[in-house]
Amino acid sequence: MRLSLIARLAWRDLTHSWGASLCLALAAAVALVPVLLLFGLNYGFVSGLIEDLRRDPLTRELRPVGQYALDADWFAARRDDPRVDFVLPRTRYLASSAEMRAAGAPGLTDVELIPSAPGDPLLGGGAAPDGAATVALTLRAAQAAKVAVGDAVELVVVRRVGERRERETLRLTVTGLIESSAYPRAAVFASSLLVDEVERWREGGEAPTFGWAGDPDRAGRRTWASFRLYARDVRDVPAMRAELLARNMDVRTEAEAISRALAIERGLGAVFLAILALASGGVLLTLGFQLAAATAEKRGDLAILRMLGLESLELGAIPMVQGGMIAGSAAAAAGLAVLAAQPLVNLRLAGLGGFDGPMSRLEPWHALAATLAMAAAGAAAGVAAGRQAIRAETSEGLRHD
Amino acid sequence: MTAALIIRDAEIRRGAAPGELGFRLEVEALDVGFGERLGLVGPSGAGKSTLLELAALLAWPTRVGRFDLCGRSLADLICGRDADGAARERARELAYAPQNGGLLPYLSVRENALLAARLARKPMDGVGPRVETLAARLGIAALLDKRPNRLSGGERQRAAVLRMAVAEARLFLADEPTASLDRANGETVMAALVDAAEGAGAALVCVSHDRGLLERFGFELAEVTAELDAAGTERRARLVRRREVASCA
Repeated sequence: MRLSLIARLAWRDLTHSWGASLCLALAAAVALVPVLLLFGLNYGFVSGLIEDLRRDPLTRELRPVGQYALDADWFAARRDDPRVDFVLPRTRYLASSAEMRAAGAPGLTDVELIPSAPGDPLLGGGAAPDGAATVALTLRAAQAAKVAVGDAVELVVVRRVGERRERETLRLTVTGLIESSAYPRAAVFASSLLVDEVERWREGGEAPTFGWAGDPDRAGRRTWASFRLYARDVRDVPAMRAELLARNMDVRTEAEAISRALAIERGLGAVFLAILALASGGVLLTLGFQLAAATAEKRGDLAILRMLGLESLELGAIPMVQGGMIAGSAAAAAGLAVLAAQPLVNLRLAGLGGFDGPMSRLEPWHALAATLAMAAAGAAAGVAAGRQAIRAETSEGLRHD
Repeated sequence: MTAALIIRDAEIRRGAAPGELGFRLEVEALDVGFGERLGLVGPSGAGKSTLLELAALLAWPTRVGRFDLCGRSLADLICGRDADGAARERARELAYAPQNGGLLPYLSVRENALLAARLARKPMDGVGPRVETLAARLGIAALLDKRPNRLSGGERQRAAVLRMAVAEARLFLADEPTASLDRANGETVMAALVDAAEGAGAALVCVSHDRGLLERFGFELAEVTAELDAAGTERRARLVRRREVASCA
């Protein structure tokens, strides 16, 4: 197969009857523009919406309502679930309150004490709290105590033993800040070790890590009242919520927003596929008929090529290559048109539905992929015409004028 | 002199549908040596063009006893209806010009000629200058970059001769090259054709109605005769031209 020669001949033939070729390519391009535009919207708005949801750890969170008695096995099972991104035991709400100030400063700020660990989605990639040494603060807490990353803070916890009020202070270094969008209230994200010890001490036990005295008999507990749980993928949240509800554990999620976005994604995906199939099917069918008609009309030219020594496959490849050229250039033109119009579309639709990303997002490589795919499909559309070219009687074609 | 073409005992049938007048061409013997010029003459519809197509491997015979092209036996290839094999042989050994010249409308005269050389799988170096030289001899050097539809009938036929000459074929087959031309143009084209075949040392077989023209250019004539068979259902054409030519090794 002398493919470059075939391609040159196919191209010269197309450009010789450029009027008809151009009309065919333009008609195909016009049919493909809405497909690519819809693809851009699907990829921009819908995928962007899902991406937004996925980026936002709060949408992946399953927040327990109420208090339970969850043992280590329960947490181990959650950790083994491939859908779970992050899970940590959490103490009961009352036991998690504390006070904080910048080291040596007067005045105290009420804070929540929240367990954290490496991989905590709310840390936003910042350093995880380490043992009894470092913590991350929410922005609200840091502002209230007027501290920044690298500063030392004092965490003050109190307990009441009979009539006596006891008070302990921990000196910690701030190594991370948590955005208000991730956690709006004043809170200290500390290691599970720290949170557990503080809870045990507040309930009358001892906290050996910090050397805080207490009743050593109160050491043996191992259930937790609550948890922090994040799914790996926002798409798994509704199912995980349903499973927890089935075990009488009420959790709050952004399920509604999630399932709305997922429904849009599914619905638009189906519409997109239908339009893609109809539009490109129509284009390819028309192209196939046009190529077959042109092959019948040009049987004289094809017979000349046969006479000059072109082999069957080479002859049959000519209408296929032409189909590829027409469909490919149509897709390329449609892609360029959509890429050119896209900024206008995005400007016009900016901020629609509270979505702040680009509504349409057709990337250059999408247009390139569409061009290659349409070129291949166009070549396939030329198969019938190619067979027809091979089967034509050469002598008949040569006598035909 | 060696043989460019030897055909024995070949038969082509056409239009065998019931109620239709059938056509059968029988070639008992057709031998053409290198350097020879053979004119095929006969009444219209006698099958001269069909015979030329048979020689050009463009029409499949229903029977062939022997078919040697430039010393190679192609009877098996023909009986097996190997279209691609035929295309390769044709490209290598034959230059064929149908009645209208058979130029591709979307290529210039030069590109038409170069394409023939390229498809003949001949080495392409030196072909460009050769096209110029041959075109100058044919008097169409100024037309090389024109498309066929910008040429007159005579110019088109000379462009077809140019294409035949460039491919360095050893058997030239031309179907009525002068049929649509006036006398002066016909003479020019025939002179060009004879000159090109001679330059290539090739055999030349030419179908024409114009016996006088063929004779003036030194063609030997072979007559294709045709008559209705006894039943009146078939037109039978025959050609006999047996000559002693040594086949090339």
